[in-house]
Amino acid sequence: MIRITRDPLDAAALLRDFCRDRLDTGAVVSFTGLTRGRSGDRTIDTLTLEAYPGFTERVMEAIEADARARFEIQDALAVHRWGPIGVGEPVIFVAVAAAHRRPAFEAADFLMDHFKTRAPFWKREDGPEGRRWIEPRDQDHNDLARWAEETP
Amino acid sequence: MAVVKLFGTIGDIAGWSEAKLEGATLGEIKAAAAGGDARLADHLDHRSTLVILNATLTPFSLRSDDLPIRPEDEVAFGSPVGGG
Repeated sequence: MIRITRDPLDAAALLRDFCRDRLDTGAVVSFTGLTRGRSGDRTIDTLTLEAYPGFTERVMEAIEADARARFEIQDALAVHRWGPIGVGEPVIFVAVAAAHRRPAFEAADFLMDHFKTRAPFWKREDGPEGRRWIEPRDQDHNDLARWAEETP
Repeated sequence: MAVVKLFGTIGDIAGWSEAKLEGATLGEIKAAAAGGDARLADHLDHRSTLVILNATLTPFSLRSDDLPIRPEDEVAFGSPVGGG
Protein backbone atom coordinates (compact mmCIF):
# COMPACT_ATOMS: atom_id res chain seq x y z
CA MET A 1 0.00 0.00 0.00
CA ILE A 2 1.18 3.48 -0.89
CA ARG A 3 0.19 6.70 0.86
CA ILE A 4 1.39 10.25 0.53
CA THR A 5 0.58 12.78 3.21
CA ARG A 6 1.38 16.32 4.28
CA ASP A 7 1.03 15.29 7.93
CA PRO A 8 4.00 14.35 10.15
CA LEU A 9 4.84 10.63 10.17
CA ASP A 10 4.79 8.60 13.38
CA ALA A 11 7.12 5.77 12.37
CA ALA A 12 6.62 3.84 15.62
CA ALA A 13 2.83 3.87 15.25
CA LEU A 14 3.04 2.91 11.57
CA LEU A 15 5.31 -0.03 12.42
CA ARG A 16 3.11 -1.16 15.30
CA ASP A 17 0.01 -1.15 13.08
CA PHE A 18 1.86 -2.89 10.25
CA CYS A 19 2.96 -5.73 12.57
CA ARG A 20 -0.49 -6.30 14.04
CA ASP A 21 -2.22 -9.69 13.49
CA ARG A 22 0.48 -11.23 11.32
CA LEU A 23 0.36 -14.91 12.23
CA ASP A 24 2.21 -16.15 9.13
CA THR A 25 4.92 -13.49 9.09
CA GLY A 26 8.42 -14.25 10.31
CA ALA A 27 10.08 -10.96 9.40
CA VAL A 28 9.19 -7.30 9.17
CA VAL A 29 11.87 -4.94 7.91
CA SER A 30 11.23 -1.22 8.20
CA PHE A 31 13.07 1.87 7.06
CA THR A 32 12.56 5.45 8.19
CA GLY A 33 14.19 8.24 6.20
CA LEU A 34 14.90 11.50 8.07
CA THR A 35 15.64 14.96 6.73
CA ARG A 36 19.28 15.92 7.22
CA GLY A 37 20.36 19.26 8.64
CA ARG A 38 23.40 19.45 6.38
CA SER A 39 23.99 18.81 2.71
CA GLY A 40 27.70 18.96 1.99
CA ASP A 41 28.78 22.33 3.38
CA ARG A 42 25.28 23.75 3.34
CA THR A 43 23.05 24.13 6.40
CA ILE A 44 19.43 23.18 5.81
CA ASP A 45 16.53 24.58 7.80
CA THR A 46 13.67 23.06 5.83
CA LEU A 47 13.26 20.44 3.15
CA THR A 48 10.21 20.99 0.95
CA LEU A 49 8.86 18.26 -1.27
CA GLU A 50 6.43 18.94 -4.06
CA ALA A 51 4.24 16.01 -5.07
CA TYR A 52 1.68 15.54 -7.81
CA PRO A 53 -1.18 13.72 -6.07
CA GLY A 54 -2.71 11.13 -8.39
CA PHE A 55 0.50 10.74 -10.37
CA THR A 56 3.02 10.38 -7.54
CA GLU A 57 1.09 7.47 -5.98
CA ARG A 58 0.67 5.82 -9.38
CA VAL A 59 4.44 5.71 -9.95
CA MET A 60 5.06 4.47 -6.40
CA GLU A 61 2.39 1.76 -6.80
CA ALA A 62 4.10 0.49 -9.94
CA ILE A 63 7.38 0.24 -7.98
CA GLU A 64 5.60 -1.61 -5.17
CA ALA A 65 4.03 -4.03 -7.69
CA ASP A 66 7.49 -4.63 -9.14
CA ALA A 67 8.83 -5.47 -5.65
CA ARG A 68 5.95 -7.84 -4.93
CA ALA A 69 6.55 -9.66 -8.23
CA ARG A 70 10.27 -9.89 -7.61
CA PHE A 71 10.56 -10.93 -3.96
CA GLU A 72 8.68 -13.46 -1.85
CA ILE A 73 6.98 -10.97 0.40
CA GLN A 74 3.55 -10.89 1.99
CA ASP A 75 2.91 -7.19 2.30
CA ALA A 76 4.48 -3.78 1.81
CA LEU A 77 3.66 -0.30 3.05
CA ALA A 78 5.20 3.01 2.05
CA VAL A 79 4.11 6.34 3.49
CA HIS A 80 5.81 9.39 2.01
CA ARG A 81 5.45 12.86 3.42
CA TRP A 82 5.40 15.98 1.26
CA GLY A 83 5.20 19.73 1.82
CA PRO A 84 7.60 21.55 4.18
CA ILE A 85 9.47 19.16 6.52
CA GLY A 86 11.67 20.22 9.43
CA VAL A 87 15.18 18.88 9.94
CA GLY A 88 15.27 15.56 11.76
CA GLU A 89 11.67 14.66 10.92
CA PRO A 90 10.69 11.47 9.08
CA VAL A 91 10.10 11.96 5.36
CA ILE A 92 9.44 8.34 4.39
CA PHE A 93 8.47 5.12 6.15
CA VAL A 94 8.71 1.76 4.40
CA ALA A 95 7.84 -1.63 5.88
CA VAL A 96 7.91 -5.07 4.29
CA ALA A 97 6.53 -8.32 5.73
CA ALA A 98 7.69 -11.77 4.65
CA ALA A 99 7.82 -15.30 5.97
CA HIS A 100 11.62 -15.06 6.18
CA ARG A 101 14.01 -12.16 6.69
CA ARG A 102 16.08 -12.20 3.48
CA PRO A 103 13.34 -11.24 1.01
CA ALA A 104 12.06 -8.65 3.49
CA PHE A 105 15.50 -6.96 3.67
CA GLU A 106 15.96 -7.12 -0.09
CA ALA A 107 12.51 -5.82 -0.94
CA ALA A 108 12.85 -2.89 1.47
CA ASP A 109 16.24 -2.03 -0.09
CA PHE A 110 14.79 -2.34 -3.60
CA LEU A 111 11.81 -0.14 -2.74
CA MET A 112 13.99 2.60 -1.27
CA ASP A 113 16.44 2.64 -4.19
CA HIS A 114 13.56 2.96 -6.64
CA PHE A 115 11.49 5.46 -4.66
CA LYS A 116 14.58 7.62 -4.23
CA THR A 117 15.30 7.72 -7.93
CA ARG A 118 11.92 7.45 -9.63
CA ALA A 119 9.15 8.58 -7.27
CA PRO A 120 7.98 11.99 -8.48
CA PHE A 121 8.83 14.29 -5.60
CA TRP A 122 10.58 17.56 -6.35
CA LYS A 123 12.85 18.41 -3.43
CA ARG A 124 14.01 21.83 -2.36
CA GLU A 125 16.37 22.78 0.46
CA ASP A 126 16.08 26.15 2.18
CA GLY A 127 18.70 27.47 4.55
CA PRO A 128 20.90 30.47 5.41
CA GLU A 129 22.67 30.14 2.06
CA GLY A 130 19.40 30.33 0.15
CA ARG A 131 17.30 27.91 -1.84
CA ARG A 132 18.51 24.91 -3.80
CA TRP A 133 16.59 22.33 -5.81
CA ILE A 134 17.97 18.82 -5.44
CA GLU A 135 18.99 17.19 -8.69
CA PRO A 136 19.46 13.49 -9.39
CA ARG A 137 22.92 12.25 -8.35
CA ASP A 138 25.10 9.66 -10.07
CA GLN A 139 24.98 7.62 -6.87
CA ASP A 140 21.20 7.25 -7.19
CA HIS A 141 21.58 5.79 -10.67
CA ASN A 142 24.36 3.49 -9.45
CA ASP A 143 22.05 2.29 -6.66
CA LEU A 144 19.37 1.53 -9.22
CA ALA A 145 21.76 -0.23 -11.60
CA ARG A 146 22.52 -2.73 -8.83
CA TRP A 147 19.06 -4.25 -9.27
CA ALA A 148 19.39 -4.57 -13.04
CA GLU A 149 22.57 -6.58 -12.57
CA GLU A 150 20.91 -8.81 -10.01
CA THR A 151 17.77 -9.61 -12.00
CA PRO A 152 16.89 -13.22 -11.21
CA MET B 1 -8.67 25.43 -21.77
CA ALA B 2 -6.31 22.77 -20.46
CA VAL B 3 -5.01 22.83 -16.90
CA VAL B 4 -1.22 23.15 -16.90
CA LYS B 5 0.89 22.39 -13.82
CA LEU B 6 4.60 22.99 -13.30
CA PHE B 7 6.83 21.19 -10.76
CA GLY B 8 10.33 21.69 -9.42
CA THR B 9 12.73 24.20 -10.95
CA ILE B 10 10.40 24.68 -13.90
CA GLY B 11 7.74 26.15 -11.61
CA ASP B 12 10.36 28.35 -9.95
CA ILE B 13 11.52 29.72 -13.30
CA ALA B 14 7.95 30.38 -14.42
CA GLY B 15 6.87 31.92 -11.12
CA TRP B 16 3.60 29.96 -11.16
CA SER B 17 2.58 26.36 -10.58
CA GLU B 18 -0.87 26.05 -12.14
CA ALA B 19 -2.76 27.84 -14.92
CA LYS B 20 -5.48 27.30 -17.50
CA LEU B 21 -4.03 27.80 -20.95
CA GLU B 22 -5.28 27.75 -24.53
CA GLY B 23 -3.71 25.24 -26.88
CA ALA B 24 -4.84 22.39 -29.12
CA THR B 25 -1.43 20.68 -29.23
CA LEU B 26 1.44 20.08 -26.83
CA GLY B 27 3.52 22.58 -28.81
CA GLU B 28 0.86 25.28 -28.39
CA ILE B 29 0.54 24.53 -24.67
CA LYS B 30 4.31 24.81 -24.23
CA ALA B 31 4.37 28.11 -26.12
CA ALA B 32 1.50 29.47 -24.02
CA ALA B 33 3.21 28.31 -20.80
CA ALA B 34 6.57 29.83 -21.77
CA GLY B 35 4.95 33.13 -22.73
CA GLY B 36 8.08 34.27 -24.58
CA ASP B 37 10.48 33.30 -21.79
CA ALA B 38 13.29 31.55 -23.68
CA ARG B 39 14.76 29.92 -20.57
CA LEU B 40 11.42 28.47 -19.58
CA ALA B 41 10.80 27.33 -23.18
CA ASP B 42 14.14 25.49 -23.12
CA HIS B 43 13.19 23.70 -19.91
CA LEU B 44 9.74 22.72 -21.20
CA ASP B 45 11.38 21.32 -24.34
CA HIS B 46 14.25 19.53 -22.59
CA ARG B 47 14.56 15.80 -23.04
CA SER B 48 14.92 15.20 -19.28
CA THR B 49 11.75 17.12 -18.42
CA LEU B 50 8.85 14.93 -17.33
CA VAL B 51 5.72 15.51 -19.40
CA ILE B 52 2.67 14.09 -17.62
CA LEU B 53 -0.63 13.98 -19.48
CA ASN B 54 -3.69 13.21 -17.33
CA ALA B 55 -1.49 11.70 -14.59
CA THR B 56 0.37 9.42 -17.03
CA LEU B 57 4.00 9.94 -17.95
CA THR B 58 4.40 10.59 -21.68
CA PRO B 59 7.59 9.02 -23.05
CA PHE B 60 9.94 11.31 -24.94
CA SER B 61 9.24 9.44 -28.18
CA LEU B 62 5.51 10.18 -27.94
CA ARG B 63 5.61 13.82 -26.99
CA SER B 64 5.85 15.59 -30.31
CA ASP B 65 4.65 19.16 -30.53
CA ASP B 66 1.73 17.86 -32.63
CA LEU B 67 0.35 15.74 -29.77
CA PRO B 68 -3.33 16.75 -29.50
CA ILE B 69 -4.45 18.34 -26.23
CA ARG B 70 -8.15 18.55 -25.37
CA PRO B 71 -9.64 21.35 -23.26
CA GLU B 72 -10.40 18.87 -20.46
CA ASP B 73 -6.82 17.57 -20.35
CA GLU B 74 -4.34 18.21 -17.57
CA VAL B 75 -0.73 18.64 -18.68
CA ALA B 76 2.13 18.76 -16.20
CA PHE B 77 5.81 19.52 -16.70
CA GLY B 78 8.34 18.56 -14.05
CA SER B 79 12.08 18.84 -13.75
CA PRO B 80 13.95 15.50 -13.33
CA VAL B 81 13.36 13.79 -9.97
CA GLY B 82 15.78 11.94 -7.69
CA GLY B 83 18.51 12.77 -5.22
CA GLY B 84 18.36 14.10 -1.69
